[in-house]
Amino acid sequence: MTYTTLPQFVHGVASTARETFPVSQNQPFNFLNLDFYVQDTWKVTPKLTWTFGIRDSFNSNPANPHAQVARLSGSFDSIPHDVNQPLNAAIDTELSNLFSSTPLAILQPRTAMAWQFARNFVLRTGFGFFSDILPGSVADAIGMNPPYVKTFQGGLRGTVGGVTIAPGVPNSAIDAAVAANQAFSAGFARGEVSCASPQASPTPCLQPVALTAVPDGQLHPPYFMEWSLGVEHQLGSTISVRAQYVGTRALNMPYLTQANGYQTVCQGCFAPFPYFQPTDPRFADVMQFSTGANSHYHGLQLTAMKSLARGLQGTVNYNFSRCMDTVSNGGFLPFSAGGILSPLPGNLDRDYGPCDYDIRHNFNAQYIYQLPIKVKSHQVGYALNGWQVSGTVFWHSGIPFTVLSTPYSAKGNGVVQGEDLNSRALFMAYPFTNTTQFQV
Amino acid sequence: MNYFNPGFTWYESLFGPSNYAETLAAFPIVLQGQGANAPFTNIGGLDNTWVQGRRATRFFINDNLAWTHGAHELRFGTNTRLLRLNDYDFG
Repeated sequence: MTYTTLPQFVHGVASTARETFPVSQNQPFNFLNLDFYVQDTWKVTPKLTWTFGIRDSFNSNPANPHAQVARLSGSFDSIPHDVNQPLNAAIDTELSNLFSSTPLAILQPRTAMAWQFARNFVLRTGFGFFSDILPGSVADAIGMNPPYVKTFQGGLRGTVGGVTIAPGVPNSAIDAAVAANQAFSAGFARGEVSCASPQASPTPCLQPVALTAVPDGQLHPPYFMEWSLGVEHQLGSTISVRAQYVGTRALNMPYLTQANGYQTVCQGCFAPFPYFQPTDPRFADVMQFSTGANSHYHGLQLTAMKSLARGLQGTVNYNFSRCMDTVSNGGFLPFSAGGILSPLPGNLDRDYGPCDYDIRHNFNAQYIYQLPIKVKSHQVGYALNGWQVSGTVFWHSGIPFTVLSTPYSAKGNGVVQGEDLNSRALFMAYPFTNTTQFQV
Repeated sequence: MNYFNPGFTWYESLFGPSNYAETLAAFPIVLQGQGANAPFTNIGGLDNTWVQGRRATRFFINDNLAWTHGAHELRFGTNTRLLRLNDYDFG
């Protein structure tokens, strides 16, 4: 329940009164990750070792044992946006799985070589495919679809009516949200149409509800390619140094778009948002879950290691790297406050830029030093012998930062059902370096 | 050589008032001032977010077989994880 001015508070007027109505406060979801692998490490010659293998992953379609999953029959773009179609014909219910289907096998071939091409020098290289399971947050998002979870908003800025703050009083905004929920639950089961339909009777009709849509057909799961090439050199009996290039490419990464946003500014403004009403007015916010984001990473890693000798051992690492992507941090939770997770619908490529955690220079070192105390007395030695001093040092350059525009609003008009889409990146820069990049 | 490593973990991490029903009976809403014209503290705290958290049950089975034959070292295996996540974020 919100109020925006002191008079609203004094007179008990709700700016918004929002309530969520779940069938249950909690929902269990089962995930099975089944991996099989076979690998051969072949010592081709005394100086050449070749490792090759393949891993097969089965990541199950997340399942709700109560069969309380609801979703559109396809992606938001694929369904007919016919306001006269009853909502229970647009939303499939009593499902167990989050997605229409998921692949039975994700094959991941891998290979690597180690070649001692000169005395104390080893060349290492490798390439492989890897997969990962989807974040559990995907179940929280899709599992909250109507009719199993619904949210309605009353008050001055709400859609279901009511003005007063307190429940149980005349014209209560929160009671209006409760009534909208009851009308939706009963009307959805009866196959009634949305309030957006001209065929809808004034009351009760089904108020717009928010949902998360899944991709069409079989889910394209995220996968990664990783490759490396490095040289290792042994210096004496305790010191080794290594220089290595590492690259990764991630594909089919998850991301969300707000597919039912619209704008109230002018015809043609803020494309691709339609003017004045959403694509499908039967729905409020629609988050479209997709797997199509991608990333590139290239890094030069320099490492020096000293194994234990004369009481001292340690490692020094320096990493010079570059990371670019379309959506960072797995697409569900922002890496930092204000991080942009949601590209404009159909404009994923425009969000290609430095990763939120793109750190150009990264230096760290660890050491352990065994104090040279050797007291022969048993009692005193028990207390003083064997002590070690250890430490770690970190230094890294800053992460990119983005300057955002304020949410657009002119005379109360702006982007509706778009949330963070109101704010767009104006300027992106790296601290501690002179490199700057601009993003429109 | 065969390495068989099964595992099981369970945890519950739920957050909320000790008696949520009584809390809501005392004050059933969360009243929040929004914007520069209503710079006041929330009344009702975070009562609209409780109960929050999850119960997580996890089974693991890792079985790795290594077999050396001449210049080859063959490895086969499975890494299996069965997770049941029971999230309390649906309210």
